[in-house]
Amino acid sequence: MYLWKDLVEESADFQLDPETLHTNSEESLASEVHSIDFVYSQGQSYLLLGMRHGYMISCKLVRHFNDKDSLDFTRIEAQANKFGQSQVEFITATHDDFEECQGTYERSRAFVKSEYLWQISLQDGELRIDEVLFDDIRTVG
Amino acid sequence: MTYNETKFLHWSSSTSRLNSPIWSGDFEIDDITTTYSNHFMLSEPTLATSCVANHILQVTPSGIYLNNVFRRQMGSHQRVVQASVMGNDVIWVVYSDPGEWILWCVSFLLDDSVEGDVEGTISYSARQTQLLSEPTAIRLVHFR
Repeated sequence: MYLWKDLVEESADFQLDPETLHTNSEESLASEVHSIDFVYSQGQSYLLLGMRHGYMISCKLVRHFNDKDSLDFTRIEAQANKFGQSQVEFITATHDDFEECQGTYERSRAFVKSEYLWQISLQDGELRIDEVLFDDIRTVG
Repeated sequence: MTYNETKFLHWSSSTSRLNSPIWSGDFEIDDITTTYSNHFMLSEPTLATSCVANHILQVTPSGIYLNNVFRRQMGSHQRVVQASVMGNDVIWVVYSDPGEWILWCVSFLLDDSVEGDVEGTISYSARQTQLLSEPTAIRLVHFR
């Protein structure tokens, strides 16, 4: 997994921990990243990784500007959620879907499907996961 | 799009989405593909698309198309395997035989300083870097 701050100059990388995925060698494909999304709000940032076999890995990131006015990332914790058996796919609009909040731009929501449709939202620095139903939203974790 | 072709579908609802009203969920879908048949690569799946400076950008396995403004087609031993677009920026991964992956990044810039009825011109800057292995996913994100 590579985080590209700049295409030529620098990159950051980290290895996904199999223990985070609760998988064994027979499920090696579960550790393959299928889709990527990103949410941030009020200074909190999460990288969201959709995996092959129903897992979503959320990595809480610390970002700060370095001397080159580019961004540095530090992964401080990662958590796995399992939605189902199928691959986890983020549903992403292709236009800028930032929300303006108190003079700054934020992106606090993402949608993901893995057999069912889910909404990932960043509220008060914590990720909230809701299953999206047509007539209601049910909190699942 | 489907696995082997591109379609243009127009989704419309009589309920305005302004001010976040409760939406009935009723909408109509019209197939308007023939309207664009002369401008886009409809015989291939669309990997990524966006509206760039009032033009529709389309990335397919065979190339990157921005109406008649920008066109970059792959060679016979190349194909685009991944793409991501955000605003006026697009990245894509090109696979080349016998096993090479190149990440391209292009930023489009609209020069709208031209006065009168003449449309502004679109310029672009491109960069590329070779990847060490095949990527399973890519994603372009913006920070503001």
